[in-house]
This record gives sequence, structure tokens and C-alpha cells, in this order.
Amino acid sequence: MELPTIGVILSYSFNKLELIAFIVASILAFYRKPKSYSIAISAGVMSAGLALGDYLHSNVLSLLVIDDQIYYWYLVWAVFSLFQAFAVIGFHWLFGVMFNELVKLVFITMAINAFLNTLMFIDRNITGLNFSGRPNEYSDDSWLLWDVYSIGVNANLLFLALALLSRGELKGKLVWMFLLYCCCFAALSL
Amino acid sequence: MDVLIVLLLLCGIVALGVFSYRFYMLEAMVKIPERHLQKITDESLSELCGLLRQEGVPKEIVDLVRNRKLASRTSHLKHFTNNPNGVFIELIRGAEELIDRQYETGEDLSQPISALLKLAKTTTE
Repeated sequence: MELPTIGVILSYSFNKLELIAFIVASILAFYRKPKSYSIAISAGVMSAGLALGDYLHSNVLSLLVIDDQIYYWYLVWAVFSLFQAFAVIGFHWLFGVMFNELVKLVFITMAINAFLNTLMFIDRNITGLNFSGRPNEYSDDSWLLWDVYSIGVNANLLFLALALLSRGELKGKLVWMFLLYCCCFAALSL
Repeated sequence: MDVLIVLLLLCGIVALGVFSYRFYMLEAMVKIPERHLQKITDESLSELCGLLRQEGVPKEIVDLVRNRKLASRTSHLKHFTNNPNGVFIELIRGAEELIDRQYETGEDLSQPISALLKLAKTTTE
């Protein structure tokens, strides 16, 4: 098997792993005592957003011509990241549930993901952020930002899913949280 | 157009950054504590009204209690219920007082309210 194929399978598996982790975190927070409706809402919104985003990218965006795909790909993920964070606020309001400390983590990770997607949108459609003088449209133009993006967004999601699964056990333990983030980053860099 | 899109996205990102920094300000701004209080009070009232209905209190009276227009104080309740037992009425009264206190102070008293109503239910069996 060629290496690129393994890479694609691995990235696909991580994507599904994140989705499953969010679903499990949501179910556990809802049914396991002490119940935490805030974590259930956050993980539920994240899993629904990921599933919807995946569906949209594989069934709608893939039908577009390659230039349009490049244009909308990062834009849609950036909007989705922001939408997920605002949906978390909306559902807390709707169900009258007080915020858990972990909701702060949802805001931070989604802000970083939206920012990385915005940078990629600028880099590939407006102007190259590596001062190339033109948009870095094709995969031959790949540079550091693309690597940081591809690992960073998934590391953020995996970290958030594991933090929600821990149900606040890591609250205040900044060193452990940092180590967990490093582990996620390292696992996705392999 | 692209620049406008980027600016809008950046506004959203900055807003999220501010929300995570001023976390509890956001909670108060979107009035989540009020919604939470309303929700737990409604749940407690609904539990109380369910029990009153079960004990034969007429629907009109139960609706007045549900809408917080009438407290089913001991003197009112014993004329309407099938269970004019003193302990039952005192437990219902205690639960009502806790619901009032919860509504006034914003303190989450749903567990003691539920415990009182469960106890009141056992006196009817």
C-alpha cells in the first residue's frame, strides 16, 4: 500500500474517531450521574456540526468544479466552526442550562479552527500569506501554514472531544491539559 | 467581496475570543440564569400540580396554583383534596414555600422540593 493512501485512511479514521468521541461524550453526560446537560449540549452540537459538515463536503462541495471547491472548502468550515460555537450558546439559552466551564474550551477551540480556516481561505483565494505574491491555489504551493492547518484543526477537535469525555476532570489542571493537547497534536503529526 | 467575508469571519472569531474571556458576562447577557430559574420553577410547579391533581384537587384550582395566582395553603387545600391528612398538607405547603423561595432567591432548590413531594406521595399510598 502506498503511503499517501495510508495517510488518507488515517485522516479519515481520526475524523470519524472525533465524531464518535463527541457522540459518546454527549450520551455519557446525559445519562451518567451526575448528569451534565451543558456538556451533553456542547458535545451534541459538536457531533451534529461535524456530521453535517462532513456530509456537506462529501456530497455537495465535491460536485463543484475544482476552483469552486477550493473557494468554498475553507469558507464553509470557518462558518461551521463559528456556527457550532454560537449554536452551543443558543441551545443553552433554549433549554435554560447554565454554562459548564468546558464551554469556554469550545469557544477557544472553535475560534482557533475558524481562524485557521480563514487564514487558509486568504492564502488560497486572496493572497499568499508566504509573500508569494499570488494565491497559493494548488497543492504544489503547499507550505508551513497548510501543515499547521491540517494537524491543528483535527488536534483541536480531538482535544475538545477528550476534554468533554473527561467531564471536567481536567478542570484547573493546566499542565495535564497542555500535555493532552500535545499528545493529540503528536498523534495527528504521525 | 472576499475582504468583506474575511472581515465578517474575523468579527465572529474576535467575538468568540471575548466570550471565552468574559464567560460569565455572556451568560448574564443572554439571560441564561433567568431561563434556568424559570425552567426549574416550572418543573417543580408541574410536579406539585401533578400530585394535587392525583389527590382530587379540581383542575381550575390546580391551574391557579400552576400560574402562581393561588397558593394552595393548608386552609384552601383541605377542602378540595381527597387526602385532608395533616402530614400531606404540611408537606405540600413546605414544597410550595420552597418553590416561592427558589423563585425569589434564584437558589436551585429543586432537589429538596422533589424530596418533599415524593414524601407527600408516600403519605397518599
